[in-house]
Amino acid sequence: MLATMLVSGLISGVFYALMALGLTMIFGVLRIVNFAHGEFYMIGGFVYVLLYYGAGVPIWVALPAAVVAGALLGWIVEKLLIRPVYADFGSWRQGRDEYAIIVTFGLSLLLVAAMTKIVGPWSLQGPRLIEGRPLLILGLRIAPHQLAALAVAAVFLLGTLAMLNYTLWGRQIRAVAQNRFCAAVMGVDVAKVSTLVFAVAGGLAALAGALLSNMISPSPDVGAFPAIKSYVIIVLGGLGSPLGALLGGLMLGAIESLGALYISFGYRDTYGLALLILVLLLRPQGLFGELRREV
Amino acid sequence: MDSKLLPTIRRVLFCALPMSLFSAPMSLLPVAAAAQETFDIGVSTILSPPGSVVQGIQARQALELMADWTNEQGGVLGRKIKLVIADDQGTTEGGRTVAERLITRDKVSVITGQVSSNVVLAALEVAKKYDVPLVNVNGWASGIRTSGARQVFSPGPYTTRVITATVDTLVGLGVKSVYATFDNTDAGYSLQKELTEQMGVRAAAVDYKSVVLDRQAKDYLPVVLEIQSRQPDIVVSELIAPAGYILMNQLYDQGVAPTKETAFFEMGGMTDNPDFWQNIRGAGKGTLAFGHYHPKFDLPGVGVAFRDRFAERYKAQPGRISFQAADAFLVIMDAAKRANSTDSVPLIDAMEATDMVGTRGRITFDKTPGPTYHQWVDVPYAIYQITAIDQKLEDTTLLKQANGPLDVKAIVAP
Repeated sequence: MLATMLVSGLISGVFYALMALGLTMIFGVLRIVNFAHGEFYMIGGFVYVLLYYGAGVPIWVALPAAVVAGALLGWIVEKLLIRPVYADFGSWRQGRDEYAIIVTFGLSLLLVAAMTKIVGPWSLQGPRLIEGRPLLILGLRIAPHQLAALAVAAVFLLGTLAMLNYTLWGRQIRAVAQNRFCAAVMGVDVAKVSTLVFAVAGGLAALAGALLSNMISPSPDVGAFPAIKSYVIIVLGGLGSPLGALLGGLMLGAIESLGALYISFGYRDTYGLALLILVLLLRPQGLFGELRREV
Repeated sequence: MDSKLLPTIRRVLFCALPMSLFSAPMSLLPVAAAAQETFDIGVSTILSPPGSVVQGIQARQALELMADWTNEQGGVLGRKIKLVIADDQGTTEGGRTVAERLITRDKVSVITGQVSSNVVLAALEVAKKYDVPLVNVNGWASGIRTSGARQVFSPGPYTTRVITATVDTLVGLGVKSVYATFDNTDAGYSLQKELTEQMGVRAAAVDYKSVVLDRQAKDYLPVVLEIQSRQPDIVVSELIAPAGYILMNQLYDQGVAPTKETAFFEMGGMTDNPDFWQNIRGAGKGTLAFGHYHPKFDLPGVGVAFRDRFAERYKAQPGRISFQAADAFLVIMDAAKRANSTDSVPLIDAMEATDMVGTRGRITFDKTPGPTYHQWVDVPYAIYQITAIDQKLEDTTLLKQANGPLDVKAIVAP
């Protein structure tokens, strides 16, 4: 049972990490928390499901289309709504954080309401990526479509981490995350980097929504739950740390499952929060975060 | 601003201002007169998350249909029906706020439409404060009845009825072990308490375990694995959508239920939701379900007419919530006619003496204090089995009607 629960928890953790990675990248570059992140997840789920059932688009076209939709939404949101946060960052002294909170929170409400109006309040179960007989892995029955979803999520997770570490864009993102002003002085187009980060984050969240749409049917309010998990993970792993998001996600998934096994399922969501409190008391910067001092 | 526009704007304002001052009182007159001619009914229901919007929409559709139908026939007491609809989101705060607003701002003399227990429990305090009748569509929790609120009337399901029917079914099936799941709502806790008590009395030899699950959760795998390790004869679920859908799919994906070894009994009334088959595929086949409506019911004339009108207007068959909402509406109309008034207090007095035919049978309200106070005690129900994917409700196998025997032989193993 222990191994089964651990496998189950780690699978959940991969999807948590997929959501949290985008959120932590946004925080790293823009120093804001995107409260509409869960709605990118919701949009991805709906685009995938509606393209497949509504327009008859093949699954392996609908999936990338969902990612593109999430990325496009991220790109538009950054250009239209987030730009004022840093457009004049040299003179923007007050109200910056308040603006970001209000605008992303408002966007979240708007997207939920818009989707309720367009699609209706119903949940729609997404199609399976592949069909086949379930496999038994350490006592856990895993359907091939779940394994396929897991594999796609893992590829995108590792691909994003590789992009951050080994490409020019990745270096620019890290440079802006370290010091926005210096990066600009050194010739990095910080506006372009910010837009890119929002688009990547939107795409990753939308991918998570599409991949999980068969297991968690998308409904307009479906994004709230994974978003809350993501906020816990990025604080746990260290705000702005991509590696922290990955490991934090896996850790949260495992702890929730083990807590459910050994303590009670009823308090499943509180185990992560208890761990978060512990980490904040002992290591306030998170597991992989760095202490900062700004002058 | 372009300076050439300023004279034009001035001219428009010059003409428009006196006209609006003159026309405003005139336009208010017909509105005030019309307001006196309508019977305003407050509708508090779930139109947006986090509550079950599926249920709220069904209630709203039925109430709108009934109001239009009544108005086609001239209304009641010479007044047209006007529904004042508000979204309570299925939350306690929403229930209280909406009830307060409907009564104090919109001046309605009766409220209805609530489809979740926590909302009814919150709204009944407001109804008590202002002495306004509340006709409960789908609040199951015992606390609604045991509160003793004389303003609240329930022509829908109630915990004791649901649990008695469930235990009848479990006993009839001859199961030796049961694993029951409930959601963390007022109705969920109330049902868990009563099922545990009734199982202890009526099926003490049965190995019974129950658990309350968070309805906001998106993954129930740990509890599914626990059920798998216990291998019960039947899994009972009270979770409403969308949580109930997730649990059903995970039980099915893990090969836990429904199977030949472990049956699945859905008692949350989810299987006639319009989006049931959009979210449940193989997991639905073989499911045993509890419902407060089945197309094979012998409906009275008004029930048949309601069903046909609903199908014609919405191009879909009505579910149990729609019937319950229609009955709530009919209770209000009947009371208004007998009281010869649309004022709150006469309506309450008239509702206490209700004895009328609703869409699913003869409705009366019990006056005995306790879990059936102001409740339609004999509210009908059905136990049925879904035997195929995408099966319509009318094609499911009806296993039991209220007061009838359970046809165990008709059950098909998945």
